[in-house]
Amino acid sequence: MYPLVTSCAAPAAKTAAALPAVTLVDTAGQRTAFPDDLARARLTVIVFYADHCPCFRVHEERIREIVRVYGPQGVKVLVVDSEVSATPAGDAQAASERGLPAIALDPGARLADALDAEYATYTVVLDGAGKVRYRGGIDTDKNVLHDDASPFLKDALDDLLAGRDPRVSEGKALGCALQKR
Amino acid sequence: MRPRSSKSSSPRVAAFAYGLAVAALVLVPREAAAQACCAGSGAVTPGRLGMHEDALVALQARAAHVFGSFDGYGNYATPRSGDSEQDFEQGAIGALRLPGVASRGQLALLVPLVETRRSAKGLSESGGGLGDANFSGRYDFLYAGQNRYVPGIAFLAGLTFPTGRPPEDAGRPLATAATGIGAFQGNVGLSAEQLFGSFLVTAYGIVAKRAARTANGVSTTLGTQWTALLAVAYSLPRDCAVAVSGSYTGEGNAEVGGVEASRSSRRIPILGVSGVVPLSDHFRFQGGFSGNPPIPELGKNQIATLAFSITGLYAWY
Repeated sequence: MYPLVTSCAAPAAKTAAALPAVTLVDTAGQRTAFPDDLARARLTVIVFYADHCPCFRVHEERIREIVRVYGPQGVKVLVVDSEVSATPAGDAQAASERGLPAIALDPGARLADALDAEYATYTVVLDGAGKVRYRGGIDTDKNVLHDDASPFLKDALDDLLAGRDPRVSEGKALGCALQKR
Repeated sequence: MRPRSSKSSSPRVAAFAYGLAVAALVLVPREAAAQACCAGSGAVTPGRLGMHEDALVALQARAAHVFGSFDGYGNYATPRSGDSEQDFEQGAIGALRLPGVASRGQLALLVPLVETRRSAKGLSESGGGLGDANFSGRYDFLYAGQNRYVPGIAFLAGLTFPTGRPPEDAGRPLATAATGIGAFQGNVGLSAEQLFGSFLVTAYGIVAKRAARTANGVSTTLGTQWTALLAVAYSLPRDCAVAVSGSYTGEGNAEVGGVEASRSSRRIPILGVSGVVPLSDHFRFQGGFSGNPPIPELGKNQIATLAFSITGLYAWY
């Protein structure tokens, strides 16, 4: 595999102050208020979702694994739908049928814009203070999964939970373009 | 971790779609292709980078059979008995994405080899050599699918170098050694493309201006050329796609010795069917058929061909 790392340096830090004061409601009815609720989890993983994107679909297995492995360690995983055509009913059906965590609607793509999300599978890891600790792809795969893919997100979570800076703080997200407008 | 198939497609449908895409490989022009994931691909430059690709190299082969021609009045005629022509081209292509803030831009270089086999007037000969190299660029201001109503818009530009052999230097009676137009050609254009579900619709327009050149002591300038293309691609599972396209090229009268040469203008209609089949995340084949419909008045000063092309591409992302 090729290293899809666009930068190993820390990304330009977006802190809680840069995040919009927005409350997302997910398909389970849970509300997440940014940035205040970030402090409730050790880390918050935001994965941007697109219903039509085959790249996202193949990564659903890995998202479920992240939830299963890191949820008990205090990591909250939030799948966010920022597409203009998103509806609560559609997201609820997708989450149910595809075994995804509850999907949160991002009206107006305010969170996506604040976090520079342009593609599905783009993932951001925020710490309790709202600082971006990792952003980019879940791994180096696009729409076919490989055993030897570099697991950017998993590595970043392992490092952060161990109290270290992520070995890779910015990867390349290989999903479909998000239709935010 | 193992691959997981799309839930929306049954294995039978996916197998049929894959087979269709493979079949379409023998049906594609260079102008159009699409990728199931991640939008636009296809038009203008043979080696266009996909959305997340940083670079690619490609080898292209094309073979065309001439089955007729249009004269200066637009009349169509089949070759006289005993006359025939086949044209061949092999191209090496490289494309590179610009770095940093210019990453929506990409550059491509095409270096072709051109061969012609021609029989006419009782003569038969073959010739060829290096063709006219083309350097092109594309900048995507907006990608297809990013906005519901506004299509992806890109600026296109290119420069063709007279690295081929012009007709007057071909030397042989049937000029089969001619491999280029003998002049620099610059072109600019705009492309618009939009996703509609699994369909990608692409339209572009290009205007090309050719520099003056001297042939046999006479200054000659080919007319300004414009091309419009419309292509519709359908995305299939596993990044396969099939497409149909139509383009129309018009060219004004040439100037010879400072005087406009009447009835030297050209019209070139092209229809094509194309497809792309990835063999891995990095390697894919594009290919298809294209041809000039033999409809009188539609073409002018142009041979009518049926062409097959296939391109193998290796991309980095």
